[in-house]
Amino acid sequence: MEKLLLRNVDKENSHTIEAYLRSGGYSALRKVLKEMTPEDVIEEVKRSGLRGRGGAGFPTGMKWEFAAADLKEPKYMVCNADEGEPCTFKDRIIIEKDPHSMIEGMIIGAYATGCRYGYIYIRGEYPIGRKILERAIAESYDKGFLGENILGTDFSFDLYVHSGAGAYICGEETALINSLEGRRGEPRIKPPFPVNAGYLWNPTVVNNVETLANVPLIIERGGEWYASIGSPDCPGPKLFPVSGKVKRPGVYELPMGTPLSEIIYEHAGGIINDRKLKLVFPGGASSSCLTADEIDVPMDFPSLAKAGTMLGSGAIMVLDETDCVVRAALRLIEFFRHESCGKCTPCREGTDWLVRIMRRIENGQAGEEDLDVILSISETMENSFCGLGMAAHNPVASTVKKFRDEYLEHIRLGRCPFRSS
Amino acid sequence: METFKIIIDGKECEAYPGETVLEVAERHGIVIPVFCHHKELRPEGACRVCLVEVEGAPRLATACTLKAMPDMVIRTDTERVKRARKGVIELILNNHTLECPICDKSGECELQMTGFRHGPKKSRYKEPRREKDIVIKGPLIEIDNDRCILCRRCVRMCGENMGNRVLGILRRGYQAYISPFNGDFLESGCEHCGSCIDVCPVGSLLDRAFKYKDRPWRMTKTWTTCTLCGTGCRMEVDTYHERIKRVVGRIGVNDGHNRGYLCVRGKWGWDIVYTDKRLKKPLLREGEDLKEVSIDEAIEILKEKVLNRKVNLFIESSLTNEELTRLAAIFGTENVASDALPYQEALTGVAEITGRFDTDKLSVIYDAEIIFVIGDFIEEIKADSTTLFSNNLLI
Repeated sequence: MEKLLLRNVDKENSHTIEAYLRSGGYSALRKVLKEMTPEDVIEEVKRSGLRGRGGAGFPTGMKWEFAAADLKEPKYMVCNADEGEPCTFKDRIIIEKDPHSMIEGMIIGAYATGCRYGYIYIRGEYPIGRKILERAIAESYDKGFLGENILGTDFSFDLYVHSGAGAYICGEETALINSLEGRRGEPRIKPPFPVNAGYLWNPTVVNNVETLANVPLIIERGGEWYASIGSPDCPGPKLFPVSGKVKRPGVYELPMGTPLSEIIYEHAGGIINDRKLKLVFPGGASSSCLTADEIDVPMDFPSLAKAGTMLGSGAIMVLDETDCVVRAALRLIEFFRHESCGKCTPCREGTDWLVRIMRRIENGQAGEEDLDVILSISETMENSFCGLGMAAHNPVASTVKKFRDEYLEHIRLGRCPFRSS
Repeated sequence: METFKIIIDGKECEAYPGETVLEVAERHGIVIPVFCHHKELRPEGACRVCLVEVEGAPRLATACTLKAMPDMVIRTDTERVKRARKGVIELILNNHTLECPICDKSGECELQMTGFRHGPKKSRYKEPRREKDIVIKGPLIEIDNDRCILCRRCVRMCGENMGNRVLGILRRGYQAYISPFNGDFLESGCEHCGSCIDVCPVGSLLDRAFKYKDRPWRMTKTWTTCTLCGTGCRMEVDTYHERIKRVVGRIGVNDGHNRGYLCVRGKWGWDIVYTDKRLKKPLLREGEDLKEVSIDEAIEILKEKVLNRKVNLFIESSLTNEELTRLAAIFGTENVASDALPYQEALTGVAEITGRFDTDKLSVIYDAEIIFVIGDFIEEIKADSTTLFSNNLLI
């Protein structure tokens, strides 16, 4: 397939504006500012069927429409570059190798929604990405793509980079806005949604890096062309970061709806040493796992939801037969315990309890009844405040359901069967 | 205001626009257990105990954050709701210390009551209890973080209602705990209004003057008016065998103009009742000695001494009306000066411009859109008014 999102990353100095302009960059912005009204842009994006790539899969055109309809001023455009999910590294490649595509997408989005100021909230662990972005923004200002009266029109837009301080929860849009305001990074009550009351209680559009990088493509080639790529429900190219026990881990750009088995066996080269696949987390650390029998599922939002898991950020984590499921699930739930903000009870207490039970299972000090307790905690955690708590129990609960035998093996042996001692 | 109907547990309830489901339910006598919500605070949705089932919604919703909409159908008593509620309360109780026998809050603790009514009957928690072991002691307030359920009422009370922002949360997740920002109450600018203690649903925020002194259930509760200044705040004095043990404002229950908010004097000043420096009877100096006399006798002597001399009476502006009436009866209303005089002159000046000037009840402050403060040392003389102001300005 033709590379769309990653069209520039292999070129020399792809992060500079010269390289981006040479490959036809900012022509979409020119087209938007010269020929299109904001309504046209939103209409085009809606026609493309683009859905948010951050995890929730909310239709981007609709989000922009809501923000544009709000009368409060000023409006803010925020790019969510707080890519904290374990094994997710798709946004990083855009930030570091092709920052201008995302900046261009942001300016177009700001024009469509009427935003005056923009922020890129980048995670604290990407210091190089931050430097590259700052440089890219400075270059854009020099060329007149940012600032006042962009390209001689009435439209003005200022863009800033804000670095996070290392909290996973700040990838949640309301927590991100709280953090941007200088408060504690904790999710806010929704509704009101950020499109109506976000940054400083003004309308705020929060979009993922990859979503924004899609926007120039849609403008350049038209929404209908975009809608023809991949699965009809949620079309477009998607970046799939594949990691774990595969021969060629990395970021793969494939159309939405590519079967998971094809990604693992064809694009990522199959499992290391041709061992047997045990389980896959198809949408980052917070998704439910899929077993080897279930991997023929197309990778898009509705199909994975039907399969009982979720696409999330699209990060594919592969475990083979030599990996201990309990240990993997323990490691993931430890991450969520560490990253829970502590606002709501189910997430704060539930993750801690799960870690403690999982540690006992891994060390062989658990009983069979503990598995039922895990499932009941996971049910309670469904009632958490935000998406973190609602999804944090997934790796544990899904493995208990699908690999119960292995858990029972741990309990029966009184130790982890995958460790020699 | 226009109202609409919503149905809670099959009962038709009248709701006002903007009200939450919890408020509607409370008004109609339907109890939904909750920790993080408090009548005087903005909704937070943190404790997740007030879960209810909304017809047509896939997930359970928290009643404290859910705005009532016309024709909403809410269930609070289904098996699903009960199970979810039980699960959350179990999570809260897992690491809560069982210090009830020595806890000051025991007997009026919301966690005890809610746990009893809605909690699980048996715990499945096998792990050793997680101890934070962080106790922060101020001069009058103490935070015991092991008892804390992180409902954040105190944080919001301090920051949003009192405008002090002394209390906050440090660290995150299971390690989160409540603390004044740099660990010290005085350095963080705490005014010791005690509102955080009042709203704490458990025994985490403690009144140090009351700690280990008595049990809430056996004290006699008397509603009275604070006499320490002229503001006249309503408060509850708890006594045991006619000895004062503590004073509480009961924010959310109190119907006085102060709505339960007290100042440091009202909350902790009651100990002047028992100080040995307090004059209980007038004393007459005879040579070196002081002789006890009755009050009438004392006034007679005073009159003798001051009669036919040029006397001026200077009274403090914060005296109560009762005290002023008594003084007027004895000394008349002539030759009286007060530090309130400049204010009177200012008010007369205002009256000259506006035509009239009436003093109003203190509680009208709550409804005001703009408040003019004349005289900038109001904080010193009227701690309670400051509380009212900040409360009003920051909501």
